Amino acid sequence: MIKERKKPELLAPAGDMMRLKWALNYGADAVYIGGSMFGLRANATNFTIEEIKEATTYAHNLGKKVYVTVNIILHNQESAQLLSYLKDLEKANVDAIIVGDPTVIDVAIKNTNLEVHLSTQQSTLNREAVTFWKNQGITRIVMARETSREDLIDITNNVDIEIETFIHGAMCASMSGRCVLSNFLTARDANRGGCSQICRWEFDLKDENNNPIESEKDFTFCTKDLVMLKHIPEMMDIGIASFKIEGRMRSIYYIATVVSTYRKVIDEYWNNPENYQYNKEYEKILNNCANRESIDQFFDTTCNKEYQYYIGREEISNQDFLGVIKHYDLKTKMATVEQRNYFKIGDKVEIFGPSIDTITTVIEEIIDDYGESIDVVRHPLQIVKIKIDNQVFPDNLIRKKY
Amino acid sequence: MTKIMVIPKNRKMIDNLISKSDAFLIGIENLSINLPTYYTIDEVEEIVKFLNNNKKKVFISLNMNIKNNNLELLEETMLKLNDMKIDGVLYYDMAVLNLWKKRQLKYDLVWSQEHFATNYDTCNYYNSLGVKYGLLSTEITLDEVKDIVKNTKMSLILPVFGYLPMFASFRHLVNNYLEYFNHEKNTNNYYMEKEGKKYPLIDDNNGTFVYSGNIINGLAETIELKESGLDYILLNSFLIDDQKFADIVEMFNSSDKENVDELDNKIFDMFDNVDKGFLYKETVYKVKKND
Repeated sequence: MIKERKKPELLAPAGDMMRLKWALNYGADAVYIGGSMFGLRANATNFTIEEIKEATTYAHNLGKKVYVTVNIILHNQESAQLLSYLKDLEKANVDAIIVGDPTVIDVAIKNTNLEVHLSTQQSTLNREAVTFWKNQGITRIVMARETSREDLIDITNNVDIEIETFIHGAMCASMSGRCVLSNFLTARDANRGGCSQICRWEFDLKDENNNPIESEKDFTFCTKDLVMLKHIPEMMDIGIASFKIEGRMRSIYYIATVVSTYRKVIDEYWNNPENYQYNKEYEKILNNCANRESIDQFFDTTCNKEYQYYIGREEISNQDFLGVIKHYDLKTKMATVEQRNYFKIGDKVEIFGPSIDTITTVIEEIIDDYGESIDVVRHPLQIVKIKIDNQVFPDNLIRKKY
Repeated sequence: MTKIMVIPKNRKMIDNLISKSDAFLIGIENLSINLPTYYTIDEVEEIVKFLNNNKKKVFISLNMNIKNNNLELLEETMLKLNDMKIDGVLYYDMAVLNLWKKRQLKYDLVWSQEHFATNYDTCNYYNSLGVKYGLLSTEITLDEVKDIVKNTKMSLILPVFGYLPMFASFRHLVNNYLEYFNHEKNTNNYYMEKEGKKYPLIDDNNGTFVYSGNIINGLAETIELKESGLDYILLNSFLIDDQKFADIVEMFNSSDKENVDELDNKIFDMFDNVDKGFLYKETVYKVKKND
């Protein structure tokens, strides 16, 4: 198969309209968003049909695209609303839907003109599986995060279909779709958008005879993030159609930084491949806004110990971002907080914001929304109250203090 | 008539349970995961012959996610299995389905994307492609199971006893941890523990795998499941003592409307970590937001 040299698309996440505009304005060719139904980020801010219309109009005016995730694994009762929802998406002029459950593929292809991309939830890794999905009407495959360079070369050489790969952001520790830790440990359905990220939790490790295996840090599945910056030219040569950035729930700062950096690399290599030189400065920029250390993951290796992340939250990074102050009661000195990252009793934190001097305190009391005292706050967007002696204000932020 | 399918732990267990089980589910090395034992293709051939001779059904699991460099082995194995008298091949990766169609293989397929088999429409989707069987998710309720059975022509298998798969990774997450902190690795079998709850954890050649802290016990529910028309109940011996497992299989065999509750309770007495899984527990996926 002779490959036509085609400039790859840079595809960015957009958790809301503001992020969508920032992503497109900072250089993304397309964005993917969650609709109000059937998306795998159930707890993110998602787009209504009206907002999706606004999003596609905005993107199309710039000559760019909008994809909508319809990637949950359905339960019986959910398919009833599917057709009308897909019809609405078609009317909203979305450029494609990203799908995990074949029922959605079937309903979309039989009843709409929507283009259908296969979600990474199906963990597609090989040319036979890619061929299968192509025959089912899929026009683009979002490859499994475990796909290697050799896999990508083999697939792009053998099957004529658009291939999308992740280039940046967080990794699942498991194969996508094969992790239901969240279902079992927190009763939240990972394959319907409820993932509570158990792979970031710490566990005690024991051998088969129940003897503890103790180390200076507890056992965790937590892996480093993905960064493919240095492989972009090679991936362009392989013929990847779309480079995907992970993180619909990321900050505007993060999206703008990551999108603009990859934009530069793609353009520099595309415009002048013979004289292209890797720019270390770009790597530094990405590192500075990373949640945790980043590495190139399965593209080049089988992911050894260097690919794990055992140092917990000991870096100054976005992961230190624990919550947002929503309200402060002067009388009780209790602040209402919306959680952003796991925190617990005893954590040393800083509260900062435009109208206060940075406050350093230790979390001594946490009350949940049932008025009960709890030790840890582990759910994204969970609302709790914590005791802070000094006055704080709405939209002040809480971060981990070291 | 609902049949009993068993996942045996070893060859001896197949002999011992031959009269108590209608079907056996067998793993193959380098192509199966989440099973207690993985056999070579030659061993599989011997087991298949033995089960054929005893007029038992035999299902082979090819439920691994397949990398390109594993396609050759997969195709070769699928062709060899076609020369044996087997009743079905379980698949996770669509490479199996594609090769099965391409090669026009004679055995039936079992859709086995364990956590994805949660609705009847998708059962019907694969059924329309020629897939006869489906292994249902264990993360759905009893009512959902019955609803699926009612609304699909696919023949369905439901795990009702044993530890359940919760996590599968190509990564060697335990090895990596042990190496990072300079521990020696002496086994593939571990536990990870949180808040007093222990979860079986395996790190073997295929990657890292985690199983439920509790053993699911759906014995009492088998009466309703049989009435619903479910084709197979699946009993898994993984990490269960051989004798206890034999007793369990016997209990599933001998249960009826009169004694089922008593037998079900007996299973709760046999182990200290038994529950009903998600049979009566719905998972949520939207966290209530508060203002």
